[in-house]
Amino acid sequence: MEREDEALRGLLRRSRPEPPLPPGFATAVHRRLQAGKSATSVQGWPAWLDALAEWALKPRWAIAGLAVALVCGSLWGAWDGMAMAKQNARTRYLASVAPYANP
Amino acid sequence: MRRSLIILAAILLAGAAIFQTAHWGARQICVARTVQAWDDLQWLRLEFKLGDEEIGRIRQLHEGYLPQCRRYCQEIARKNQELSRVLQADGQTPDAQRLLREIASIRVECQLEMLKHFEAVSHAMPPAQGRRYLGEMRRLTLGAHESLEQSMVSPDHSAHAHH
Repeated sequence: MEREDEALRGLLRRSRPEPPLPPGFATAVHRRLQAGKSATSVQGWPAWLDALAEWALKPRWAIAGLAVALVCGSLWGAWDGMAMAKQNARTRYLASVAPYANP
Repeated sequence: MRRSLIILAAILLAGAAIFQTAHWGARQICVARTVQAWDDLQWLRLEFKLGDEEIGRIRQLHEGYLPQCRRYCQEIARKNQELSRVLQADGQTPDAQRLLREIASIRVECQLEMLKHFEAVSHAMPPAQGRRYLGEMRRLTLGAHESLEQSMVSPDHSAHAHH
């Protein structure tokens, strides 16, 4: 049975003759491949952007980035809050003891 | 490319939103926890790192000073009302001049009392903080007039310059 299949495949291959390749075919293919590669590298940034998006979507980096935003925001907010609280307290004290003060 | 751009924009927006929310929340919590709305002396505690004992001494001085300060302020407000009535009715009359002098005199009295109070408070603090407090209070209370007067005699203010 397997030998018959093999014989059939050989018969089919022979029945579809492959035309000869035109002269310089391989060179032309290489040239086109080279042109395509340099076009991509001239545009450049889409590949870079894709890589960045792919990198940023990795859970480890996404969580780390959001955690950094959370921590930095909180620290800056606490710093601002302390300064604001001090300013409010100073205004309050000055208003109570010095009506002519310029807080 | 378009999909990558959308993803990156969404990530940046999410990061900015988280940063902003954290900033706002931390600031609110910090202000609410640091300031006790009822306490006039909270600034002294925060700025000059004073303990309960020092704040207790200063509170006594503060509560003794407030009625005097209020009395001066009420007197000045009463004279100011009188002055605007006189100015509206008769313009710059001898009465108006007298009232202006009286107001100025009460203000001087008030400022002298205030400076005396600042000195008493500075003595209730450790020496270094006391000196810093006194300097700061003089700057904030007397310095306001000084800067106004300085701006009037500066060369840019040729119309008001005193030669």
